[in-house]
Amino acid sequence: MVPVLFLVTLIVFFVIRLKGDPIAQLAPVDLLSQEEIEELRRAYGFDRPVIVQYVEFLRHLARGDFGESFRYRQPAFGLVVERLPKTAQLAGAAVVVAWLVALPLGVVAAVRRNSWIDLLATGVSVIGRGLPNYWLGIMLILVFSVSLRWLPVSGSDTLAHMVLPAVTLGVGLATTLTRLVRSSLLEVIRQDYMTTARAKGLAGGTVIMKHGLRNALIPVLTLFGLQVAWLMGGVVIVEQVFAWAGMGQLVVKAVFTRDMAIVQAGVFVFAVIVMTANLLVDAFYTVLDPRIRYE
Amino acid sequence: MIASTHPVTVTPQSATSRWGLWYFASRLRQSPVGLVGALIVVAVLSVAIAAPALAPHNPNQLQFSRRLLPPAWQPGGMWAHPLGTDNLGRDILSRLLWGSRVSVVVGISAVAIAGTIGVSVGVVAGYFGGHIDVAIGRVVDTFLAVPFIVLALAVVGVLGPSLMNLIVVLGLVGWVSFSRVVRGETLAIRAREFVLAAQAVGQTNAQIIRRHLIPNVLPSVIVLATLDVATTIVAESALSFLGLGVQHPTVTWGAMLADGRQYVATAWWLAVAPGLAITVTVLGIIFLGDWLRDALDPRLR
Repeated sequence: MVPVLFLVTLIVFFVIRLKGDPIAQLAPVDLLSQEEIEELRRAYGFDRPVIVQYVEFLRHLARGDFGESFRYRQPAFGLVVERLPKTAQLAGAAVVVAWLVALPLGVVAAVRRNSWIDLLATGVSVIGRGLPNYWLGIMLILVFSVSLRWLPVSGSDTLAHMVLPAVTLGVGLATTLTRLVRSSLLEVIRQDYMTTARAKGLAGGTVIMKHGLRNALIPVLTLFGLQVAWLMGGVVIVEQVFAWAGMGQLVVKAVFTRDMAIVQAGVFVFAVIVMTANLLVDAFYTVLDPRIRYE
Repeated sequence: MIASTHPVTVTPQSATSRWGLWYFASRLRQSPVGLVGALIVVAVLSVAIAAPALAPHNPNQLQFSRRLLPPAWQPGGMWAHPLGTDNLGRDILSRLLWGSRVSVVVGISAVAIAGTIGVSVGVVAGYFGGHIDVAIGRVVDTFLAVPFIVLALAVVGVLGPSLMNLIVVLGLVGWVSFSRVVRGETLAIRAREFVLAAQAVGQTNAQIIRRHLIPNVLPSVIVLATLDVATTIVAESALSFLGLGVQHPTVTWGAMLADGRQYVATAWWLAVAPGLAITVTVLGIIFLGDWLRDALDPRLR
């Protein structure tokens, strides 16, 4: 975790230096005179050696200081973190939607193998793999907002606003998850302890839920951890589709206004979210499987 | 050398090779899904190549008198514009055909870059192991922690959106999946007798990597590359949708979708057409990739 976090800071540090002079990324240089640019360069410390700049950057970062957004005239980190709850709500709702779909569908598909539900689950997850979430979002707007007028087209004020973006992201996640739950459970069903559980007279449902699912979920969870990065990438795009006022929307807007302090803070925060989520997934293993212990 | 794991039933001579066209064609006939995938991929490639000849109109020709015409089968539509026109009166079918070019070019080029980097890094990590492997592992973890789109967004934001930058960025960001798979395979192959024998007779590491490791990971790499083209096309369209793709006058499916998003309440066909194009293309590539995986490398299932 620590080395990875360190490498993320390197990426964030160098991303604005990809084109040489970082001042061009942080300030509207075409509107400034040569003296003003020089002054800014000194103010940001860009006249010093890169190593010194990086150490300075790390020291600021440790205090959550990514510099000031020149557009909002406020600390960039604060602006990004301010949007975090909105993004967390959306991502959390998407995860709930995904599990609500994937768990029952995957379990039924595995238990009733080759039934119509299994075919449906397989079909949906195949199509879902090719369905870009930005398009799915627009199609949902078309059906539920434009034609049926059930839900608002865009915005992020009420719960009704959250339904479509959460479903868009959730369905994307669910297609992969359903496939994983199904194949993992099929694997587990063949194990000896499942036969034993049935032989000692436990009801079929109990066997599947208590003995089967619990074991089947361990590999699913591993891949779910990897999916968090995908989910965060999806959030950025889906927030744009639905004008959801989260971190992704802020970062995308910042890229266009060349407000790189916000972009840097955004990349960092997204990476930290993904890493934290993976830590949580690791911690959750011990709940599912008491044999797994972390020293 | 690659040991054949499938009974080869085609005619002898040139066609007996595992890589022979006939071999593929005969196997493809047995898999309807693979066949559909292959047909879609061939169709998209042909359209991309022949777009100038196929497109009925100039994709950027503005016709304000014919703004937002619906598809021809709808009331008010006309057969001069089979899929209708967009908010500036441009022919959607023509734009769709031309738009395939960016997807194909970016998809293939970026994956070529990602594959080259990923295979090199993965082989080195797997073959040498130790500190090198650990260090590379950390870098891979870092790229996995930063969401692909977020990183691409930031880099394109700095470098500016252009075809070249897009290819380079998607290539540089996308090598990780290759590296992981190739490293794993290399670890397994490294311990095999033929590699030990090569070491014993004094072949250099470079020779072993070139002659023994790379050819053996190639089947997996081809499968992965195929599937990765699909991922890259989705990513390219996403960036174009956000406005950071190849800029006007080049037509991209992602930018068409962004227009469609704005007119979703009044003109559904603007968003449906490019989205369907992306989805069908991506599904075709995935079908082909899955089939290739089954045909080339059953272990990857």
